[in-house]
Amino acid sequence: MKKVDFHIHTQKSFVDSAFELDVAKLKEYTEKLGLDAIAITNHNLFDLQQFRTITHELDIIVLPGIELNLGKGHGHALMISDNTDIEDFALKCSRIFEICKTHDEYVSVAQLQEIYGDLSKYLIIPHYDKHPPVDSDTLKELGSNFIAGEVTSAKKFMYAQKNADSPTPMLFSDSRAKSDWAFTTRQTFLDIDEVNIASIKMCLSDKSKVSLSAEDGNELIQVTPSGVLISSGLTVLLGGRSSGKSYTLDEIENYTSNVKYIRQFDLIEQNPETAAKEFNERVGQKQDADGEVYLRKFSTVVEDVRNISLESDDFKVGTFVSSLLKAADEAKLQDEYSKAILFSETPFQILDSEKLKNLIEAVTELLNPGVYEPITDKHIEKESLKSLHTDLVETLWREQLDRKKSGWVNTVVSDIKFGLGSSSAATQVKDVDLWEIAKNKKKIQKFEEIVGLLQQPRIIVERDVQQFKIQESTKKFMNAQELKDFSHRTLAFSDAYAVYGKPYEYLKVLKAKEELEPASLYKYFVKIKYDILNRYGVPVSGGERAEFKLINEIDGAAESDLLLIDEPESSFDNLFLSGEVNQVIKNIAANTPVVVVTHNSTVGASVKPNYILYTERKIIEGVASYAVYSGFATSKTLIAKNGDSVSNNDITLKYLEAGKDKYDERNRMYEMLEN
Amino acid sequence: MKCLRINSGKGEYSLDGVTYEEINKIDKESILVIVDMILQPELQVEFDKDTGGQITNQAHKIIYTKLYEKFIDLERNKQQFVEETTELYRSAYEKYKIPEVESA
Repeated sequence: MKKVDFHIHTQKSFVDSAFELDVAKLKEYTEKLGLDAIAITNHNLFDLQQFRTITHELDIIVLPGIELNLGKGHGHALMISDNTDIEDFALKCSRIFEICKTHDEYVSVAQLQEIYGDLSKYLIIPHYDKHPPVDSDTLKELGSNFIAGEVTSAKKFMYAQKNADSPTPMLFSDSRAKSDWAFTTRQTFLDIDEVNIASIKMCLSDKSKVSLSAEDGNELIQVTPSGVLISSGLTVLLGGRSSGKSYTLDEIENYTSNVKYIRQFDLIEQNPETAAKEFNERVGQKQDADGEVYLRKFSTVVEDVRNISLESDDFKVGTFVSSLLKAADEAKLQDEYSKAILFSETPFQILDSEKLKNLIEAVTELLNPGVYEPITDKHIEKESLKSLHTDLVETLWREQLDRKKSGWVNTVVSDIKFGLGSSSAATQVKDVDLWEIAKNKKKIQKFEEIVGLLQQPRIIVERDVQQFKIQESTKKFMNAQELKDFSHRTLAFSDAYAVYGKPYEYLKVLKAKEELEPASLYKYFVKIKYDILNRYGVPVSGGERAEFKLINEIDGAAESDLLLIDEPESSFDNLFLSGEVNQVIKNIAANTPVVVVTHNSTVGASVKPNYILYTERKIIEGVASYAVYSGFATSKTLIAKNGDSVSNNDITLKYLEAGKDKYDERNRMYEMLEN
Repeated sequence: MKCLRINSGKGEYSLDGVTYEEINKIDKESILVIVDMILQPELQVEFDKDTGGQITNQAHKIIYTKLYEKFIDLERNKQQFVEETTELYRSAYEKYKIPEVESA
């Protein structure tokens, strides 16, 4: 069995950012990961001199190669040669270098044949389940030279292994050999005795001879440089406290990419107050937005009345009345200025066209109904709509012109009034827009009615999410502290809360608080409450939320290449674990490798794992080290790298059932209860 | 048609070019009528200018000079004054307006 990595970059090209080759790091990589052979495959180039340096430094087989832009889809493919005539290979590769100088340039299979001659002498591995893939026409043109394809993860490797239509998968690091190289366990095992192109190709023609671990065919994947294996399905990791379980999981995470890691206590709520909100965000439902929608109409009401001051209106009316009375008193004293009609002229009332504008917009919408056109067409003739649109717009223009003219006249009248008023000894009756003042009074009255209705508790939205119900409701603010908390400011609200029952007064006090954004004052009239209810209709407990969180976390892991779960049993009851959690874990493990650390028999045994890992901390001459034993769930023994073994049954009973004695005792107790 | 004229030291206005009233009798509605006349493209509206202090009545003078100055300004910008009010929804209007069929 040989462990190989045929996709290593050592030279910068137009697709890479600049990096310096670190030969020592490359050597460390091959040693740490126990590689038997590697290939140097740079983008569209082969550097003979550098290749010689590398082969000189490394003690393992190094094959010369190149990563080509192959075919019209600009997919990438590795082309690897034996290291018998390297000068010839270098010469041929220099022609590729001339052809492919940018992303958009590529070589066709015909060009490849023309340059390299008989392609069967080379190993060609196109990107298969990997970006950018070689297009299907080019794969066809490769014919019998296409036997293996490169994939990006163990998960995809396993998928290709099981799928009869897929080529033999190969998993490589595709890394840059530089000083900060973070090693991964992306290598492939080949069941061959000698590393040469002929024997590799022979091996690749039989999928069963290609694997991700040195043993047990395609069911196991090597996930750490130290040789820890896991199942391509479900692996359970057992061990005592501080025996290295979390250490092992961390190591697996370090050497694998695209890992979903649900850590121990990740699911326990740190802050119950914000947990409900986080919980909602987790399932992608922004409750804030819903509250916003509910209050949107009210916000326009507040916006409309925010600048109304009944006190100022009262003052204006007062001034008007007293000036009117005074003018009446002085009627006999009128002079030539005050006798002019314009001296006491009132302005034109200017009305807006909001209603008409809304109508025009509605008709425009009807004229552009999109997919609903057949329905609108059935009921309203397009021509009528068009002519309605024209009439409405013309009416609007007329109204606008009238408004503008009235405004113009008002300005002129006001100027003349001022001129006459300055010259006259008579009292000029003050202008007052009684219409506006009456309207303001009415608006405030309505506003107070609306606030009264708004503050009546009600349910706004109810939604079912899995076994829970998300409920959004309104309630009154109960005290000044609640207002303060809501504002997220160090601001006193006792003055405001004192008049909370008088909306207009309340708004006045809020307006006076300069720290509050004027446009957000509407939010202080009613509190939007979010509740997550369980199946019995009562707010969920922290434990129930954690259950939900776990299910969602695990569900989301289907996209990952590996799922690690550290002790899911913390804070869950066994019924939940044996039911929903186990089912979800099993579903994921059908397509994604899963490793679960557990002490709980409900998870560990009932979930029926494929593979068992057992960690043990050993202190030899004062130095602590971790031993990892492994074996299939059905094996009698679990075996460590050094050949030591432990009984699978003993370990399972000890760590999942607290030992054989306790297990027997519990069984006896259950029997007694039953009898 | 002459809407503003000076007569015997007093300002006068007319809404028909025939009968004239003293300018201190003008109200906002009458001013609006004159505005409408100014804005009519085909109507030529004229105003006498108070050159050299012909108007001796001070109240009349205040009203007359302000109206004269404003009317002249409006007369000068009347096209823009009207056009500005027909900008809103102009493109949609052009798109949906059904062309009138000219009768033979």
